[in-house]
Amino acid sequence: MNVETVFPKVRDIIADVLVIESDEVAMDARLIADLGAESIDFLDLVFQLEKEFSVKIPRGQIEKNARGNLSEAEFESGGVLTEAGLAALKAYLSEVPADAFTPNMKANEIPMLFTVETFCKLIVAAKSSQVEAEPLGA
Amino acid sequence: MSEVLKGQVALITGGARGIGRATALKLAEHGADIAIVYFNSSDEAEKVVAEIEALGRKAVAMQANVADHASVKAMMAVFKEHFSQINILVSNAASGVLKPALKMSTKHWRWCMETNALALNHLVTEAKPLMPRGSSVIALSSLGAARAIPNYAFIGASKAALEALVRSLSIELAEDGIRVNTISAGVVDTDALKHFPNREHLLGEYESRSLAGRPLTPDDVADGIYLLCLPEAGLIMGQTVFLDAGYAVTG
Repeated sequence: MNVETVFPKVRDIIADVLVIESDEVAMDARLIADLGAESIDFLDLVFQLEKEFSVKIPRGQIEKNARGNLSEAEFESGGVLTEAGLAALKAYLSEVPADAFTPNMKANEIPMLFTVETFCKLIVAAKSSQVEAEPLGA
Repeated sequence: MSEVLKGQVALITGGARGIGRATALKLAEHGADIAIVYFNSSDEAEKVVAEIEALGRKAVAMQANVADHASVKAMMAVFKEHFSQINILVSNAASGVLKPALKMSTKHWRWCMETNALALNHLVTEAKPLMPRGSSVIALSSLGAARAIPNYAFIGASKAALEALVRSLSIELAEDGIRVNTISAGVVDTDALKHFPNREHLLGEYESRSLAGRPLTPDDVADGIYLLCLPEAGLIMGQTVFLDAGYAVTG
Protein backbone atom coordinates (compact mmCIF):
# COMPACT_ATOMS: atom_id res chain seq x y z
CA MET A 1 0.00 0.00 0.00
CA ASN A 2 1.34 3.42 -0.94
CA VAL A 3 0.18 6.96 -1.54
CA GLU A 4 -0.86 6.17 -5.12
CA THR A 5 -2.94 3.14 -4.20
CA VAL A 6 -4.89 4.89 -1.42
CA PHE A 7 -5.38 8.07 -3.46
CA PRO A 8 -8.57 7.07 -5.37
CA LYS A 9 -10.50 6.31 -2.18
CA VAL A 10 -9.09 9.31 -0.31
CA ARG A 11 -10.02 11.52 -3.28
CA ASP A 12 -13.60 10.22 -3.30
CA ILE A 13 -13.99 10.71 0.45
CA ILE A 14 -12.62 14.26 0.30
CA ALA A 15 -14.97 15.04 -2.59
CA ASP A 16 -17.87 13.58 -0.63
CA VAL A 17 -17.06 15.51 2.57
CA LEU A 18 -16.51 18.82 0.75
CA VAL A 19 -19.38 18.25 -1.70
CA ILE A 20 -17.20 18.78 -4.76
CA GLU A 21 -16.40 16.68 -7.82
CA SER A 22 -13.75 13.96 -7.45
CA ASP A 23 -11.77 15.31 -10.39
CA GLU A 24 -11.29 18.60 -8.55
CA VAL A 25 -9.34 16.73 -5.88
CA ALA A 26 -5.77 16.65 -7.17
CA MET A 27 -3.01 14.98 -5.17
CA ASP A 28 -1.31 18.34 -4.53
CA ALA A 29 -4.46 20.34 -3.81
CA ARG A 30 -4.45 22.16 -0.47
CA LEU A 31 -7.58 21.29 1.48
CA ILE A 32 -8.28 24.74 2.90
CA ALA A 33 -6.92 27.13 0.25
CA ASP A 34 -7.77 25.13 -2.88
CA LEU A 35 -10.72 22.97 -1.89
CA GLY A 36 -12.43 25.24 0.64
CA ALA A 37 -12.24 22.89 3.64
CA GLU A 38 -13.08 24.22 7.11
CA SER A 39 -12.34 22.89 10.57
CA ILE A 40 -15.58 20.88 10.79
CA ASP A 41 -14.71 19.25 7.47
CA PHE A 42 -11.50 17.87 8.96
CA LEU A 43 -13.53 16.22 11.75
CA ASP A 44 -15.80 14.55 9.22
CA LEU A 45 -12.91 13.68 6.89
CA VAL A 46 -10.93 11.90 9.60
CA PHE A 47 -14.06 10.01 10.67
CA GLN A 48 -14.74 8.87 7.08
CA LEU A 49 -11.10 7.89 6.50
CA GLU A 50 -10.97 5.90 9.74
CA LYS A 51 -14.10 4.00 8.73
CA GLU A 52 -13.07 3.38 5.13
CA PHE A 53 -9.55 2.20 5.87
CA SER A 54 -10.25 0.63 9.30
CA VAL A 55 -7.49 2.68 10.92
CA LYS A 56 -7.24 4.94 13.94
CA ILE A 57 -6.14 8.51 13.39
CA PRO A 58 -5.98 10.04 16.87
CA ARG A 59 -6.56 13.78 17.17
CA GLY A 60 -3.35 15.72 16.61
CA GLN A 61 -1.70 12.78 14.82
CA ILE A 62 -0.25 14.84 11.96
CA GLU A 63 1.36 17.26 14.39
CA LYS A 64 2.63 14.34 16.48
CA ASN A 65 4.12 12.68 13.40
CA ALA A 66 5.77 15.95 12.39
CA ARG A 67 7.15 16.53 15.89
CA GLY A 68 8.93 13.19 15.85
CA ASN A 69 11.41 13.16 18.72
CA LEU A 70 10.89 16.80 19.64
CA SER A 71 9.03 17.55 22.85
CA GLU A 72 5.97 19.81 22.62
CA ALA A 73 8.04 22.68 24.08
CA GLU A 74 10.77 22.11 21.50
CA PHE A 75 8.17 22.10 18.72
CA GLU A 76 6.19 25.18 19.66
CA SER A 77 6.36 27.98 22.15
CA GLY A 78 3.30 30.07 23.05
CA GLY A 79 1.46 28.74 19.99
CA VAL A 80 4.30 29.70 17.60
CA LEU A 81 6.45 27.05 15.94
CA THR A 82 10.10 27.10 16.98
CA GLU A 83 12.86 26.98 14.38
CA ALA A 84 13.35 23.28 15.10
CA GLY A 85 9.58 22.78 14.99
CA LEU A 86 9.30 24.43 11.61
CA ALA A 87 12.19 22.33 10.25
CA ALA A 88 10.57 19.13 11.55
CA LEU A 89 7.22 20.10 10.04
CA LYS A 90 8.88 20.88 6.70
CA ALA A 91 10.63 17.53 6.71
CA TYR A 92 7.45 15.63 7.55
CA LEU A 93 5.20 17.52 5.11
CA SER A 94 7.66 17.01 2.26
CA GLU A 95 4.80 17.13 -0.25
CA VAL A 96 4.11 20.78 0.62
CA PRO A 97 6.06 23.47 -1.32
CA ALA A 98 8.88 24.89 0.84
CA ASP A 99 7.69 28.49 0.51
CA ALA A 100 4.50 27.61 2.37
CA PHE A 101 6.46 27.30 5.61
CA THR A 102 6.87 30.78 7.01
CA PRO A 103 8.99 31.72 10.03
CA ASN A 104 6.97 32.33 13.22
CA MET A 105 4.15 30.26 11.81
CA LYS A 106 1.50 29.47 14.42
CA ALA A 107 0.72 25.88 15.36
CA ASN A 108 -2.95 26.45 14.62
CA GLU A 109 -2.00 27.42 11.06
CA ILE A 110 -0.55 23.98 10.33
CA PRO A 111 -3.82 22.67 8.79
CA MET A 112 -3.47 25.38 6.10
CA LEU A 113 -0.55 23.35 4.76
CA PHE A 114 -2.36 20.03 4.40
CA THR A 115 -2.73 18.68 0.91
CA VAL A 116 -4.58 15.64 -0.34
CA GLU A 117 -1.26 13.79 -0.28
CA THR A 118 -0.87 14.62 3.43
CA PHE A 119 -3.95 12.52 4.13
CA CYS A 120 -2.85 9.75 1.76
CA LYS A 121 0.44 9.57 3.67
CA LEU A 122 -1.43 9.51 6.97
CA ILE A 123 -3.45 6.49 5.85
CA VAL A 124 -0.37 4.65 4.58
CA ALA A 125 1.42 5.29 7.91
CA ALA A 126 -1.61 4.23 9.97
CA LYS A 127 -1.95 1.05 7.91
CA SER A 128 1.71 0.12 8.19
CA SER A 129 1.78 0.69 11.97
CA GLN A 130 -1.25 -1.61 12.14
CA VAL A 131 0.70 -4.37 10.37
CA GLU A 132 3.62 -3.92 12.77
CA ALA A 133 1.27 -4.13 15.75
CA GLU A 134 -0.17 -7.44 14.53
CA PRO A 135 1.05 -10.18 16.88
CA LEU A 136 3.26 -12.83 15.33
CA GLY A 137 1.48 -16.04 14.43
CA ALA A 138 -1.93 -14.45 14.81
CA MET B 1 -18.87 2.69 45.59
CA SER B 2 -22.61 2.01 45.50
CA GLU B 3 -24.34 -0.61 43.41
CA VAL B 4 -27.49 1.42 42.78
CA LEU B 5 -27.17 1.04 39.01
CA LYS B 6 -25.98 -2.57 39.04
CA GLY B 7 -27.31 -4.54 36.07
CA GLN B 8 -28.05 -1.37 34.14
CA VAL B 9 -26.42 -0.30 30.91
CA ALA B 10 -25.67 3.32 30.06
CA LEU B 11 -24.94 4.53 26.53
CA ILE B 12 -23.13 7.87 26.51
CA THR B 13 -22.30 9.83 23.38
CA GLY B 14 -19.23 12.04 23.45
CA GLY B 15 -18.10 9.68 26.20
CA ALA B 16 -14.36 9.88 25.55
CA ARG B 17 -13.78 13.35 26.95
CA GLY B 18 -15.03 16.05 29.28
CA ILE B 19 -18.54 15.73 30.71
CA GLY B 20 -19.24 12.49 28.82
CA ARG B 21 -16.14 10.85 30.23
CA ALA B 22 -16.93 12.01 33.78
CA THR B 23 -20.48 10.66 33.36
CA ALA B 24 -19.26 7.29 32.11
CA LEU B 25 -17.00 6.92 35.13
CA LYS B 26 -19.65 8.17 37.56
CA LEU B 27 -22.32 5.75 36.36
CA ALA B 28 -19.78 2.91 36.31
CA GLU B 29 -18.79 3.72 39.89
CA HIS B 30 -22.42 3.20 40.83
CA GLY B 31 -22.65 -0.16 39.11
CA ALA B 32 -23.65 0.47 35.50
CA ASP B 33 -22.00 -1.15 32.52
CA ILE B 34 -21.05 1.44 29.94
CA ALA B 35 -21.03 1.93 26.19
CA ILE B 36 -19.39 5.14 25.07
CA VAL B 37 -19.68 6.62 21.62
CA TYR B 38 -16.89 8.72 20.12
CA PHE B 39 -16.36 10.51 16.81
CA ASN B 40 -12.67 11.42 16.50
CA SER B 41 -11.26 10.63 19.96
CA SER B 42 -10.20 7.01 19.56
CA ASP B 43 -7.22 7.25 21.93
CA GLU B 44 -9.22 8.91 24.69
CA ALA B 45 -12.08 6.43 24.22
CA GLU B 46 -9.77 3.49 24.74
CA LYS B 47 -8.48 5.03 27.96
CA VAL B 48 -11.99 5.55 29.33
CA VAL B 49 -12.82 1.91 28.54
CA ALA B 50 -9.74 0.79 30.48
CA GLU B 51 -10.67 3.01 33.44
CA ILE B 52 -14.19 1.60 33.56
CA GLU B 53 -12.95 -1.97 33.30
CA ALA B 54 -10.61 -1.24 36.21
CA LEU B 55 -13.76 -0.46 38.22
CA GLY B 56 -14.94 -4.00 37.47
CA ARG B 57 -17.60 -2.98 34.94
CA LYS B 58 -18.09 -3.90 31.33
CA ALA B 59 -17.19 -1.14 28.89
CA VAL B 60 -17.28 -0.81 25.13
CA ALA B 61 -16.29 2.12 22.89
CA MET B 62 -18.03 2.56 19.55
CA GLN B 63 -17.37 5.06 16.80
CA ALA B 64 -20.23 6.96 15.20
CA ASN B 65 -21.30 10.24 13.75
CA VAL B 66 -24.41 10.89 15.83
CA ALA B 67 -25.63 13.46 13.30
CA ASP B 68 -26.00 10.70 10.72
CA HIS B 69 -28.87 8.27 11.21
CA ALA B 70 -27.17 5.49 9.22
CA SER B 71 -24.08 5.81 11.39
CA VAL B 72 -26.17 5.66 14.58
CA LYS B 73 -27.90 2.54 13.23
CA ALA B 74 -24.55 0.89 12.49
CA MET B 75 -23.34 1.83 15.97
CA MET B 76 -26.42 0.25 17.56
CA ALA B 77 -25.72 -2.97 15.65
CA VAL B 78 -22.30 -3.07 17.32
CA PHE B 79 -23.91 -2.22 20.66
CA LYS B 80 -26.24 -5.22 20.37
CA GLU B 81 -23.25 -7.53 20.01
CA HIS B 82 -22.28 -6.57 23.55
CA PHE B 83 -25.47 -5.62 25.40
CA SER B 84 -29.17 -6.39 25.22
CA GLN B 85 -30.70 -3.32 26.86
CA ILE B 86 -30.22 0.40 27.47
CA ASN B 87 -31.38 1.80 30.79
CA ILE B 88 -29.67 5.17 30.55
CA LEU B 89 -29.09 7.11 27.36
CA VAL B 90 -26.96 10.25 27.70
CA SER B 91 -26.89 12.40 24.56
CA ASN B 92 -23.84 14.49 25.31
CA ALA B 93 -21.85 14.72 22.07
CA ALA B 94 -21.82 18.24 20.67
CA SER B 95 -20.01 20.19 18.03
CA GLY B 96 -20.29 23.55 16.42
CA VAL B 97 -18.87 26.52 14.64
CA LEU B 98 -18.09 29.60 16.69
CA LYS B 99 -18.72 32.67 14.57
CA PRO B 100 -21.23 35.51 14.39
CA ALA B 101 -24.53 34.39 12.86
CA LEU B 102 -24.09 36.67 9.86
CA LYS B 103 -20.82 34.94 8.98
CA MET B 104 -22.39 31.49 9.03
CA SER B 105 -23.50 29.26 6.18
CA THR B 106 -26.28 26.74 5.71
CA LYS B 107 -23.66 24.05 6.08
CA HIS B 108 -22.76 25.41 9.54
CA TRP B 109 -26.42 25.50 10.52
CA ARG B 110 -26.89 21.89 9.52
CA TRP B 111 -23.70 20.81 11.28
CA CYS B 112 -24.82 22.42 14.56
CA MET B 113 -28.47 21.38 14.36
CA GLU B 114 -27.82 17.82 13.24
CA THR B 115 -25.02 17.11 15.72
CA ASN B 116 -26.55 18.85 18.71
CA ALA B 117 -30.30 18.40 18.27
CA LEU B 118 -31.23 15.90 15.57
CA ALA B 119 -28.76 13.37 17.01
CA LEU B 120 -31.04 12.90 20.02
CA ASN B 121 -33.85 11.85 17.71
CA HIS B 122 -31.61 9.36 15.89
CA LEU B 123 -30.41 7.93 19.19
CA VAL B 124 -33.85 7.62 20.76
CA THR B 125 -35.30 6.11 17.57
CA GLU B 126 -32.68 3.37 17.58
CA ALA B 127 -32.39 2.91 21.34
CA LYS B 128 -36.08 2.84 22.28
CA PRO B 129 -36.69 -0.82 21.39
CA LEU B 130 -33.96 -1.72 23.88
CA MET B 131 -35.16 0.53 26.69
CA PRO B 132 -37.27 -1.08 29.43
CA ARG B 133 -39.79 0.85 31.55
CA GLY B 134 -38.02 3.04 34.07
CA SER B 135 -35.27 3.98 31.63
CA SER B 136 -34.00 7.52 31.41
CA VAL B 137 -32.83 9.69 28.54
CA ILE B 138 -30.74 12.73 29.40
CA ALA B 139 -29.63 15.35 26.89
CA LEU B 140 -26.91 17.89 27.61
CA SER B 141 -27.67 21.49 26.83
CA SER B 142 -26.06 24.77 27.73
CA LEU B 143 -26.91 28.28 28.86
CA GLY B 144 -26.71 29.37 25.22
CA ALA B 145 -30.14 27.85 24.60
CA ALA B 146 -31.78 30.81 26.33
CA ARG B 147 -29.09 33.50 26.38
CA ALA B 148 -27.10 35.34 23.75
CA ILE B 149 -23.42 34.44 23.94
CA PRO B 150 -21.05 36.01 21.37
CA ASN B 151 -20.23 33.67 18.43
CA TYR B 152 -22.59 31.05 19.84
CA ALA B 153 -25.61 31.85 17.65
CA PHE B 154 -26.00 28.56 15.81
CA ILE B 155 -24.96 26.37 18.73
CA GLY B 156 -27.36 28.27 20.99
CA ALA B 157 -30.13 27.76 18.42
CA SER B 158 -29.33 24.05 18.27
CA LYS B 159 -29.46 23.76 22.06
CA ALA B 160 -32.82 25.56 22.13
CA ALA B 161 -34.04 23.06 19.53
CA LEU B 162 -32.67 20.23 21.63
CA GLU B 163 -34.55 21.37 24.74
CA ALA B 164 -37.79 21.66 22.76
CA LEU B 165 -37.23 18.19 21.30
CA VAL B 166 -36.70 16.80 24.80
CA ARG B 167 -40.10 18.13 25.87
CA SER B 168 -41.80 16.52 22.87
CA LEU B 169 -39.98 13.22 23.29
CA SER B 170 -40.94 13.14 26.95
CA ILE B 171 -44.61 13.04 25.88
CA GLU B 172 -43.97 10.45 23.17
CA LEU B 173 -41.98 8.14 25.42
CA ALA B 174 -44.11 8.51 28.55
CA GLU B 175 -46.36 5.59 27.69
CA ASP B 176 -43.29 3.36 27.48
CA GLY B 177 -42.20 4.48 30.94
CA ILE B 178 -39.14 6.27 29.59
CA ARG B 179 -38.30 9.67 31.01
CA VAL B 180 -36.57 12.34 28.93
CA ASN B 181 -34.88 15.38 30.47
CA THR B 182 -32.25 17.96 29.70
CA ILE B 183 -29.41 19.03 31.93
CA SER B 184 -28.29 22.55 31.12
CA ALA B 185 -24.83 22.93 32.53
CA GLY B 186 -23.09 26.17 33.41
CA VAL B 187 -19.65 27.04 32.10
CA VAL B 188 -17.45 23.97 32.49
CA ASP B 189 -13.79 24.23 31.57
CA THR B 190 -13.50 21.24 29.21
CA ASP B 191 -11.61 20.85 25.91
CA ALA B 192 -14.67 22.29 24.17
CA LEU B 193 -14.24 25.61 25.95
CA LYS B 194 -10.69 25.95 24.59
CA HIS B 195 -12.23 26.70 21.19
CA PHE B 196 -13.99 29.79 22.54
CA PRO B 197 -12.07 32.99 21.80
CA ASN B 198 -13.82 34.52 24.84
CA ARG B 199 -13.03 31.56 27.13
CA GLU B 200 -11.49 33.67 29.91
CA HIS B 201 -14.42 36.09 29.86
CA LEU B 202 -16.98 33.28 30.07
CA LEU B 203 -15.16 31.65 32.97
CA GLY B 204 -14.79 34.97 34.78
CA GLU B 205 -18.47 35.88 34.28
CA TYR B 206 -19.50 32.47 35.49
CA GLU B 207 -17.30 32.61 38.55
CA SER B 208 -18.53 36.06 39.53
CA ARG B 209 -22.18 34.94 39.59
CA SER B 210 -21.89 31.31 40.60
CA LEU B 211 -23.22 30.72 44.10
CA ALA B 212 -20.81 27.86 44.69
CA GLY B 213 -17.62 29.89 44.97
CA ARG B 214 -15.69 27.41 42.86
CA PRO B 215 -15.51 26.36 39.22
CA LEU B 216 -18.05 23.91 37.82
CA THR B 217 -16.39 20.61 36.90
CA PRO B 218 -17.36 17.75 34.59
CA ASP B 219 -17.82 15.67 37.76
CA ASP B 220 -20.45 18.11 39.03
CA VAL B 221 -22.43 17.65 35.83
CA ALA B 222 -21.97 13.88 36.00
CA ASP B 223 -23.40 13.98 39.53
CA GLY B 224 -26.53 15.71 38.22
CA ILE B 225 -26.91 13.15 35.45
CA TYR B 226 -26.57 10.38 38.01
CA LEU B 227 -29.34 11.92 40.14
CA LEU B 228 -31.71 11.97 37.15
CA CYS B 229 -31.04 8.25 36.61
CA LEU B 230 -32.30 7.29 40.07
CA PRO B 231 -35.81 5.92 40.55
CA GLU B 232 -36.40 8.76 43.02
CA ALA B 233 -36.27 11.12 40.03
CA GLY B 234 -39.15 9.15 38.49
CA LEU B 235 -41.51 12.09 38.13
CA ILE B 236 -38.98 14.53 36.74
CA MET B 237 -40.07 14.48 33.12
CA GLY B 238 -39.50 16.76 30.14
CA GLN B 239 -37.57 19.25 32.23
CA THR B 240 -34.54 21.38 31.61
CA VAL B 241 -32.65 21.08 34.87
CA PHE B 242 -30.11 23.84 35.35
CA LEU B 243 -26.88 22.60 36.85
CA ASP B 244 -25.00 25.84 37.11
CA ALA B 245 -24.62 26.83 40.77
CA GLY B 246 -27.40 29.37 40.36
CA TYR B 247 -25.88 31.24 37.41
CA ALA B 248 -29.11 31.27 35.37
CA VAL B 249 -31.18 32.80 38.15
CA THR B 250 -28.76 35.41 39.47
CA GLY B 251 -27.49 38.75 38.25
